[in-house]
Amino acid sequence: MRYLLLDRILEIEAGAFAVGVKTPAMSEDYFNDHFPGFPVMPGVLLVEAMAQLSGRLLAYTVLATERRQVLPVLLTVQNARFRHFVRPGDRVVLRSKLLGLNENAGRCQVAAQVGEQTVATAEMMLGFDAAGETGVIPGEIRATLFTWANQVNHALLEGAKLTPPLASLEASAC
Amino acid sequence: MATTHSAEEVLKIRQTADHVLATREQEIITKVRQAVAEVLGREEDEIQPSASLIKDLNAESLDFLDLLFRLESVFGIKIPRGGIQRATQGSLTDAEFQQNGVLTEAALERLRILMPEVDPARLQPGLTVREIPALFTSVTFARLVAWRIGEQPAASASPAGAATADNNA
Repeated sequence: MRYLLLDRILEIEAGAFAVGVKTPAMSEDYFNDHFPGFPVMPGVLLVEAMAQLSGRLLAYTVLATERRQVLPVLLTVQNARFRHFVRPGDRVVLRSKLLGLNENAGRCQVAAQVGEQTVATAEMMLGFDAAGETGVIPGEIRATLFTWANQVNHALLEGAKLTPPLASLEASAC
Repeated sequence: MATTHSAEEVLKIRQTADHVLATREQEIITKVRQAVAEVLGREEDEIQPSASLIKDLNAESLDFLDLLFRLESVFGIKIPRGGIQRATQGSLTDAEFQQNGVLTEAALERLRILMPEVDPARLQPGLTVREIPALFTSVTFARLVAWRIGEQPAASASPAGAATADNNA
């Protein structure tokens, strides 16, 4: 399993919200053990999916408002609730809403749904490591990580509805 | 001259906070205590006005970040980065504010005005910049909130405040 807990991002409105999807496949390794004969997506992985989506929302927001590239890092998870099981093949739709933002960090409220049913909810804070500055990520691998994040971003965002459009940001960034 | 000007600057902040607290002190203190209790996982009655969030309640910088976000959404205000630190230093240059990490008399003067809740005996020469956060109590944050409420233009009282990203960074 690669540690990408999103298949696709459907929509991001900078400064407001993001919507992403994950459909865990029966072929995921963890379903062998969690649990044998009763495969259930681990709640911590749902939290990671929420964090990855929130990270994209925050990074996009900072890019749109400040033309600054940041790598969000998970700081807190609060009020995480796992309400229903997620089974192999379930299409989990995640919605992250921006609750607060400053130069160092952002706070989001996230809900995961399968169909009409809310399967998990949580609130989380993510701190920012900015490109070209020092931060919690060691200097020598920062550039590599930012490149990697960009690649993942582009794949995830393909076909997504983005406000403002990505092209307008890339044209003005750097 | 810098000292006099700088004292005026913080007096204005102090007066703004005092003015708001004159009518809303109980409400603000109560909500701040609730937020502090939630962030630190404590009972509300443990959040005594004199309790240092760091020394007595084991708060860390992460908790302050969390607290500021909560206060922004509870009160519909925007707290600038390093709200307290920034207000404390204001227009003073680094050299006017501290020498080798030790606060200057001008800095101490500002702290005495901005943080009337702190026993003046603790704001004596020798206090370092790094010791400032240990002075913070729930009252410090109530005063910070009151200041921000007072600074807010009356018309733009948006409910969630931080629901949209600001461009003012």
